[in-house]
Amino acid sequence: MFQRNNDIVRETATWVLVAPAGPGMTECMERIATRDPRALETLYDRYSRVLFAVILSIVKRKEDAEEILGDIFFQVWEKAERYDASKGSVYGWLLALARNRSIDRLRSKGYKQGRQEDSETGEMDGFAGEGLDNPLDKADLSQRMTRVRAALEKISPDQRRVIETAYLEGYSQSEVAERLGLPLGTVKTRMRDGMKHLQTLLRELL
Amino acid sequence: MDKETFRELCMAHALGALEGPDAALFRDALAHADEERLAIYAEAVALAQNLSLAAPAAEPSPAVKDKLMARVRGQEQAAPAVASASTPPPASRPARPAPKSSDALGWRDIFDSLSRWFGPGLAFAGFAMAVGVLAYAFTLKGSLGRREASLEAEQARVTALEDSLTRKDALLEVLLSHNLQVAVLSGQGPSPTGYGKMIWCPKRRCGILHVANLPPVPDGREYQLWLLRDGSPVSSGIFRVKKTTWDGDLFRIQGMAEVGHDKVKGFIVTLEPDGGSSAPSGETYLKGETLM
Repeated sequence: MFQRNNDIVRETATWVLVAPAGPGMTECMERIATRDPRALETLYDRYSRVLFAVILSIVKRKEDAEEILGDIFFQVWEKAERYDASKGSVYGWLLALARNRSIDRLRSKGYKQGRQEDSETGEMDGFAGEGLDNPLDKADLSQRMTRVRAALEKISPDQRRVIETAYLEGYSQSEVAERLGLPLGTVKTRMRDGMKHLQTLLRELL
Repeated sequence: MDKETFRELCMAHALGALEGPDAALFRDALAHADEERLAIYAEAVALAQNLSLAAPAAEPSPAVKDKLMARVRGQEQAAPAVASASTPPPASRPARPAPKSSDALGWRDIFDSLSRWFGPGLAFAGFAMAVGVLAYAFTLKGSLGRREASLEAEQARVTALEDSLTRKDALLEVLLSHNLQVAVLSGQGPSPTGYGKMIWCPKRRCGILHVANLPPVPDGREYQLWLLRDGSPVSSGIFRVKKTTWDGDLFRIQGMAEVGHDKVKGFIVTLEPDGGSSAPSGETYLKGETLM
């Protein structure tokens, strides 16, 4: 590998993987597309917890969140060649898969009823995790998490509630309006103003 | 649609909250968006992706990974079984009854049977033809096998070349960057003959690290590269060396910390626990200052 005519460089070892959404993970996707199970494990180890947190925030039930998480990574294994790095990061792709699958589950008729009941019986207890094992990722992601959570604390509680209900619970604008008992126009305004404020606060991360 | 309305729809879309006529309106606007609006869209998506980190921390049970990997490995094992379905089953498989001994294999039975139906002359001709066809089939099979092996070798060569090309492109991408910076790293205490150089582009936040003559890492440890931002170390990645000789290993680094052009004072390489550390905790193996 990496043979150069002048023999200065004979070989490269593995690429250094740094950013959670960096091209290192793109190479990981390429390896998965060539049916390398170790690459899938690497991807899973890096992203499973953060994706699981997102899925769980939407579907609320741990067993459903685990089933969705497993299905997503198996889908990645089977369809890795569909990932197009020019269209976005690996994390962005996985996140979209996770949210779409969770929202599909959330919006299935029978599930909504169950979900409501679970929310009421407080089945969320005991799911707090430790985050990531890899300290490097932990350092990077924990910094980002801290920044994002701090930014959310800085916007108005009304705006935060609207954004969190939409994004972290998977509801559309009209559903948010219904759940929070607000006019649709108010939801749209709070969502827009809150996001603009967040954009300013998180400018360096974008 | 004016820019502010587009921005508002982008944000709602990025949050996954857009629906009905607004969603249709947005899809149409996005399909005809100019570069400025595409940038607005990209920024909204990036913001939403960061918001995912605000979800309450949670951890899946280890069984999820176990089940996933078992599913994957099960599929991998099933694939060759299908591919080799035409080959004879191994002796231990009870798929077919064991063949008779060669004497009892049935050649005589077949010949006798043909003789009864067609007479000895025709039977002999038919038998000879069948043997000829069988021999030809074996020859074809051998030829096909050789061709398949040759194709596989060619495919492996193409893959290796593509891999090499991709890596060279990555190297060129860094080397052709403007505002390139260089640091030469020299061996420290535990690695006096170690050597390294770091070539990176602060603007693109990518670089190439070449290290040589570093000792192999013990189990459970990895080298970690640190960028010194105004003297403070910021992790730039972990790596393992494959070679411990002077020509060494070459690594591409992406997603380096965002640091101003004049802020990087140098780099160090330390030995850290597997997976890296959030701050240097092990001995320094390489160290060097920015040259330009």
